[in-house]
Amino acid sequence: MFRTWGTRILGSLALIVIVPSITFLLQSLTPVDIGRSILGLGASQDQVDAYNHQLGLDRPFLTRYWDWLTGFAHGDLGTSYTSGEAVTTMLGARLPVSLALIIGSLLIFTVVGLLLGVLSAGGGRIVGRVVDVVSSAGIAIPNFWLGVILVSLFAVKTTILPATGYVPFAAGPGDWFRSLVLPVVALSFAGITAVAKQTRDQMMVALTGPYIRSLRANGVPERSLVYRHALRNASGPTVTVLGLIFVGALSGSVVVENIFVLPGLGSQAVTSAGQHDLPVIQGIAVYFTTIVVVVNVVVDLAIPFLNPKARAR
Amino acid sequence: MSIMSRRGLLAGALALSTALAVAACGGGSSSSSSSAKLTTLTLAAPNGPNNLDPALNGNGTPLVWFTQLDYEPLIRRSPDGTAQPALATKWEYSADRLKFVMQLRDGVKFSNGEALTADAVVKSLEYVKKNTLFQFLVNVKSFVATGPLEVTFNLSTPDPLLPFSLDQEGQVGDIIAPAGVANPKQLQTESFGAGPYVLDSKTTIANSQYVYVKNPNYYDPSKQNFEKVVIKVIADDNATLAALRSGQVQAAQVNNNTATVGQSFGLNLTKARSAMVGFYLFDLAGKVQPALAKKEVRQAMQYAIDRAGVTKAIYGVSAAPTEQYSAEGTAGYLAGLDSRYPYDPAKAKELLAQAGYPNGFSMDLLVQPGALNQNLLAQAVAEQWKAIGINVKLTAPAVFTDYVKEIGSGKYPIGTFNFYYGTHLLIMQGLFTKPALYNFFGYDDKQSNVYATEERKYDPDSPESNKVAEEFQTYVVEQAFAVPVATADTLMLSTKSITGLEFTNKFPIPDPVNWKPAS
Repeated sequence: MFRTWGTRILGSLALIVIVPSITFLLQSLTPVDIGRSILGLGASQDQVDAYNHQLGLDRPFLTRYWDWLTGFAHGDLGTSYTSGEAVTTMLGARLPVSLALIIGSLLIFTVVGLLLGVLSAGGGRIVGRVVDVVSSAGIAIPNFWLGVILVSLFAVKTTILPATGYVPFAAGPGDWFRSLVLPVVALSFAGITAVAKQTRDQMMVALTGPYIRSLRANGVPERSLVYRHALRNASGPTVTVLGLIFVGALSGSVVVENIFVLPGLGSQAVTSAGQHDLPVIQGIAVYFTTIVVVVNVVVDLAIPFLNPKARAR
Repeated sequence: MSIMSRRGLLAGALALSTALAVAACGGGSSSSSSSAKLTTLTLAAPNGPNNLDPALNGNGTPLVWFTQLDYEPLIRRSPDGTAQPALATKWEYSADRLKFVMQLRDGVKFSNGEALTADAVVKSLEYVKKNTLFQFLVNVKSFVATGPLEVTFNLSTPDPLLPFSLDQEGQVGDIIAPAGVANPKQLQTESFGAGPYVLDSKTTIANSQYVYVKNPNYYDPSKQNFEKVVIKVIADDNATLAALRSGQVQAAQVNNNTATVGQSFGLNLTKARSAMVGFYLFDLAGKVQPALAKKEVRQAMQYAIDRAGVTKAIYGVSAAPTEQYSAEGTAGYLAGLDSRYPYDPAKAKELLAQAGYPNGFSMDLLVQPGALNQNLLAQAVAEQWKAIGINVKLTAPAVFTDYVKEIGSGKYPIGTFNFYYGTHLLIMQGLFTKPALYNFFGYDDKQSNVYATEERKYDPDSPESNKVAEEFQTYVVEQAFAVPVATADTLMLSTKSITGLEFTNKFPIPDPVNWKPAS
């Protein structure tokens, strides 16, 4: 088992290097004069050349890549072409926002989704149908639409929650929480319904399994059947799906950050891509890859605990 | 089933606890926006600065806001367009107009504690001249400290625009403290100005929020109307509107649609003509598309456009049709010129035939991304040109960086433009003289250069200058060197908690330094 984990973690570490390397290569394929782009039409060619030289853009691709890679290995992601700020400082300010948003919605769609799924599996036809309908709606309703509706209901019509913006945890946990409620709901809605549906389907299969029949015949209480035995069996596939939904939520966070004006990594990715600000895009690629890898490793590690069948080997 | 009720209980408890948590937290600040006098001004901008270094930032709003608060210009222009003393108290040209002498305010300190001296100003101007993206200081040979508080500009040729370049919009007169000039890298993340506020780097998040706090060294504390000014970058129009309506933001620059909706929600709308949109004709020599070298063809392109219809459809009430290069009420504007080319497709076809293009021609048009819906404008006008036989193929890069690349390619004889109004001379020399910033194909029109040279001899707004400006304007409209279509407003929505947002056609730059909390 430890060997499996070892290879898994090594593979994940490799991903954190490979993915940003691919983005580096892709970006170098688009021929853009960075100096001209940043300085604009008004700058003289001399100014542009000097700027490009200062950024080291007049050097060959492999040299630039090697520089980036060695910097990366030392924890230095370079400085932004546009703002001149260190990428780690720039993204460091934004990381907590993205983490709060992403982890918040991961928690919400896991807990609420599982709960709804279990309820609907044991709750007879009507609850099942309701979850089915809501699930379809969840997949169909885009998060940007939901976001706008939530803002108009909870922040403009009734001023229960702030319309936009993020309050750091240090500035007040209450305000921090309030600033996250609407974005997290908007981001997790699709996930909740997907998890609920997956859980429900798996639970239905599990609850009709022969071992449940045997347990029930032996007088094991219904509650224990559902929560200890069936749910545990059903949770394997559900947890696997969590990893996938999570990646979807990560890209959804780009849109949600824009609607709620949260200074997270996603909105910076959009801005920097438009500016061809390569070091920042690289930094974001590193951060996003790391987040995805960590979540997937956690999911992988969780499965054997939930399902003994996946434990050995 | 007993399990069901338990599950129901669990779900109910969860829902209830969430609701309670939300409600409990909701009590706090919902009423914070009313009653008390505003101490923090928060404004929304659709994008962040190009750079916090005033030499590398762009022009127009919202870009200038990011340097307007923390850098004091030599001259501050008031909303009615008049120049007011700021770091400089007096300035004048010599009789031959080859020297420009400025007297500096005594006893001023930068936010970092350094003193404002003639030497510091010279250093700052030299740095800016070397690095600025605009050609505002091209005619200055040297800056000399001719006294402890006197700076003399030596000019290679008369340039009446210096008092405009040195104001808060031109930004080249945003004086940078010596420590900043010595360390340009730091200018990109910190303030080195003498303005009423100073950037708080700790709470500022690039491209998200820019926080400015009172500068304790500011020379005129009576003009520090707020404890703190925050500029939030909000790209989404709905989010801007929601933030305004809920009082999180007190002022925002918005587009036409948002302005109309915002007004219906009781927000104040302030506006002034600030820009013109239309089309460059880069290829006036006819290198790529020979037809453009003919005056008749260029005039035909003017007659073919239903300016009133296009303007109304795209910009609603926030713009008006125009055929010239100055805003109404400013020097060089001639009301009669706006009806030089009435919508007349038949006349347009006739002119094309006269020029030897009875069947029209085709060309590639480059659309500038971003402000003022130039993409829609290009599509609408392309249809009308098509009706007289001129087929244009649109290329619309998604982002400005790609546009810049395309424009350098020299493939496009025509492109859309969006120009902030400056002085008449600034626009005309930028477009039609050689060399000029926006004369990308380097077309050499002798007469334009003659007019520009003549106009440079006089102060803008003087009768002599106005006379040349009007002749120059008439000449260019007659030659149809470009295709202006509409003159558009800068639109600011604001809440009732602030006052003083006025700006006018003569200086359409809303300056947050002038705004005050409503009493």
